[in-house]
Amino acid sequence: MEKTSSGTNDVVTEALDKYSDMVRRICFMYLKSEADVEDIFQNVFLKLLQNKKPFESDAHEKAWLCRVTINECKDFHKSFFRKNTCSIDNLEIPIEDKSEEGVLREVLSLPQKYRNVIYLFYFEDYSVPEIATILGRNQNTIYTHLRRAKAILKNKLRGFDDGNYF
Amino acid sequence: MMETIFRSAVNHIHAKEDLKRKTKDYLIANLSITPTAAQSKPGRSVRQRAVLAACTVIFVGAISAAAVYKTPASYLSLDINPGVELGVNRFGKIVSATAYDNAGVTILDGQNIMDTDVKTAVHTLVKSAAQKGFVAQDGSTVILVTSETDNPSNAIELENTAAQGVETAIKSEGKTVTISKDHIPLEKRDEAKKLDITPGKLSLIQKLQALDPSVTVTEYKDVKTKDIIKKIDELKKSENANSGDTKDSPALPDNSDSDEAAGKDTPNSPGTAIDKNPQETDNGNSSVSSGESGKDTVSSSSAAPEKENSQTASSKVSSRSSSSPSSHPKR
Repeated sequence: MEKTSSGTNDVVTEALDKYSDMVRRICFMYLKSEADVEDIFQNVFLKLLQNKKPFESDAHEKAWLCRVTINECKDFHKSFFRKNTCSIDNLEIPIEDKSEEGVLREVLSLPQKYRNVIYLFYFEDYSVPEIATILGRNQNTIYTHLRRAKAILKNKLRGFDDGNYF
Repeated sequence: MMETIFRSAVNHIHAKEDLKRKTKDYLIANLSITPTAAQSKPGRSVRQRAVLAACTVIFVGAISAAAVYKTPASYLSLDINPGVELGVNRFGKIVSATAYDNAGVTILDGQNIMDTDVKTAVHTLVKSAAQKGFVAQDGSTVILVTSETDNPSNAIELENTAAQGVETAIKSEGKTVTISKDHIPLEKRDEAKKLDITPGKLSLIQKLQALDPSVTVTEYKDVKTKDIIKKIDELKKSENANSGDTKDSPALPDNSDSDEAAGKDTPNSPGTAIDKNPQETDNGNSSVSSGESGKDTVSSSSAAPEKENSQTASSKVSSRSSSSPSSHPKR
């Protein structure tokens, strides 16, 4: 019994060490409250550990987890009690660098569909076809979303010195 | 540059240790003890199980009901000379129709009798037969309806309903026929199927065999129903003549062969029919005369009250079912 209990503990710890930051970042792109993040965390990792289908590779597992986390966040927003979301202005961003905070705040102010694409493309380094697969959308749609998101950010971040935008 | 700033900003986002710990506690509490079990999907809820069980019951029930509905509980053999057998379910609806010969196929062709009641189905088929030239204008046609069931009361009901169907169809076509009714148990049906003839015709041939053991089924397999009946009449007449019995009665389908052989039971209507509407018979001058004499005899033998399942169809006589062995000749 001791051994099996320890086995579960190891599996949970390994999963959390491997993916907790990524799940937290996706949640950050969607959710404004720490309490909400906690719920999503629990659901996402429970699904991961209960998943019976073996993954083809680590990349497959990661993409699957991205998809599940995004879906969980979307479902969370759809729920009746979460209709009233707090403003982006009230969001506490744990970053001291002002330029970083400014960029992040502008990204977070983008429409949700653009936020997904920006995060997956620029941070997770997924290609457009991979993003299309993860989000279940057409590749051209992803290209469009990426182009529009960049245009919005370019417009909003015009004050930055070097002029190098996304 | 913006990309680098964005990356750097997002890199500052980490899952706090407190969040990890809470999640870990939650997962350990909610997962099964063993890792393998932990990775299995959770069991279905009681509600899901109940819905699944209800769906299964409904599905099985529907399948069973459909099977019961589609299974014939009894059969009705219709011999015009096209031979057709109808399967009747326990609700009195037609669920199968089998042609025993090409003519049977012809009268079934284009007729939708499935799920109709017996009377309607028989009406449709007889009408089809009449329109396709299987019913003679001179009224010589004999239509034999034979119920095939082990339930006597159901047999009588089936025969009567079928006879009504024949009657209405013949009336609507302005023709006359002789209706003969018969009943056989289901085991005889199997025998008929092996011989590839309608059970009604087999029953008639067996009656003929009772009178003349030299007769074979193969020999009479393709003989018309009316001719078999005539032959039975002839044999009965000659048998009665030989025994000096003045009571001569025309032959009719009857299951009680022994009674029939003893000359006690010769329910018939063809005889009477012949009287009213002289039949053309190629081999049956004697048959006609036997019919006439039969009728005369019947008329005089009023001592035995008639109790038979016969009906008249289009002013012609029909005959009785052999389901009541003690039946008497029709007047």
